[in-house]
Amino acid sequence: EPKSLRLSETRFPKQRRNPFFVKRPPFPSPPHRRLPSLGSRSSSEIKCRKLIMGKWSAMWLFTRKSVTGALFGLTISDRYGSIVPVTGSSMHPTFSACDARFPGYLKADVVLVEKFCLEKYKFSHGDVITFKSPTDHKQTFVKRLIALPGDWVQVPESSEILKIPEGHCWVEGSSGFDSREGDTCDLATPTNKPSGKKEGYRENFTALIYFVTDYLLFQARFIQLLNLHLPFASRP
Amino acid sequence: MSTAGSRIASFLRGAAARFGKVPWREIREDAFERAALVLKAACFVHVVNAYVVGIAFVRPSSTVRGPSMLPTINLTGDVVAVERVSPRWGSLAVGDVVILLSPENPRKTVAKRVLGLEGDAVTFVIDPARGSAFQTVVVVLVYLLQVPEGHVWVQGDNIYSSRDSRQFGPVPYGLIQGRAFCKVWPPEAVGLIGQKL
Repeated sequence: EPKSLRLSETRFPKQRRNPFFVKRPPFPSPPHRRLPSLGSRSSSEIKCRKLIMGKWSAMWLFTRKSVTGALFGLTISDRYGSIVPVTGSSMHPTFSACDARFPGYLKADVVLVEKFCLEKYKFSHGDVITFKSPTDHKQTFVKRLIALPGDWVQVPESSEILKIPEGHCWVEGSSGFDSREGDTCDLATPTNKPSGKKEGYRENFTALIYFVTDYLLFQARFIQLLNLHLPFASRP
Repeated sequence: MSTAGSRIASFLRGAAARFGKVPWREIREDAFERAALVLKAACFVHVVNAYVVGIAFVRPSSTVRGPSMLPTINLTGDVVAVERVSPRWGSLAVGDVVILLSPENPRKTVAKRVLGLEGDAVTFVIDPARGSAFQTVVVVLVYLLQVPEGHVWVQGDNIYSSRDSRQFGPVPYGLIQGRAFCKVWPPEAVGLIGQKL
């Protein structure tokens, strides 16, 4: 019976553009059993054709597929959302504390972050966001938004009142001031005071932390996946 | 009436038969394959734009204030090629023109020149128009500060009319989106952007 062609091949009947493609005879159907004729290449025929291919073409196919998958995954995680583990103890009741070293982070809470909010930078008080640290752009922190531009905050454990300038925001962790050295900061709130890095929460440079997703390109607003707290994590 | 009805009935029957004959499976497979190709192309473009090199239209000021990067970048803006590799690798140098998100409004991107990396000492004059030559007592406010860790100091080329680190302070390194290294449009302005020190 005639080999039925795909619709595109009726118009442009050319060889598939696979450099390793070798002309093979059509798939022989054993005489005692007929393959179901499905109108075009059946899926079993396609699978057998792939098995018949040499191992170089199989490897080529594999690299092509993995490059495609990598591109796709990278685009999705840059623009729409991704899944990240959370380490560190500064958000204690919301995300359980865990180690950042090897076996510890396998038990980390895994959360879903979405990036749709980065179009217009519309956040609300109480959102949990992730951001790159102003002191080290390779580190990412997780904190809760306390104040947005234009709000006034009282710096904890001191009596100063600050107004959040345009383009900035104030974030705090939820577990109080008992962060250990080396964990993510409780209050990622750099102030003008040169008081060093003691207790992990005052840092000594310039102004208030910048609006967190400025330089962030990704990540904001968690929805917890594995702890069954679901979206209520974003309300204080 | 019967002829009309029977004509309609036969038309419908013929339509059903033709509907069955249309190669739906091929059409569906074709459509999926083409859609997948378009998606792959879009992802490829996004990845190249975000990680390798991209094209950006740069207006040199974040407000419609004026030409902060004259003479390097035109008054009305230029189209530049922005490479994304060197900020990620940390190989920015003093004198590079960078594209960054404005710290005052993260929805705007501005182009400025890096004049100090972290740890450098920068000197700047807040209001250069004040330091004129025919003032007998020179009251020029000169500031000296050290760029803190993880930050860069950016200034526009046209210091008389530029809103930059002298106003909003050093900028965190993570705000930098890319390094503008070449102008691509208008055609008479095509060329590499130099490193003025």
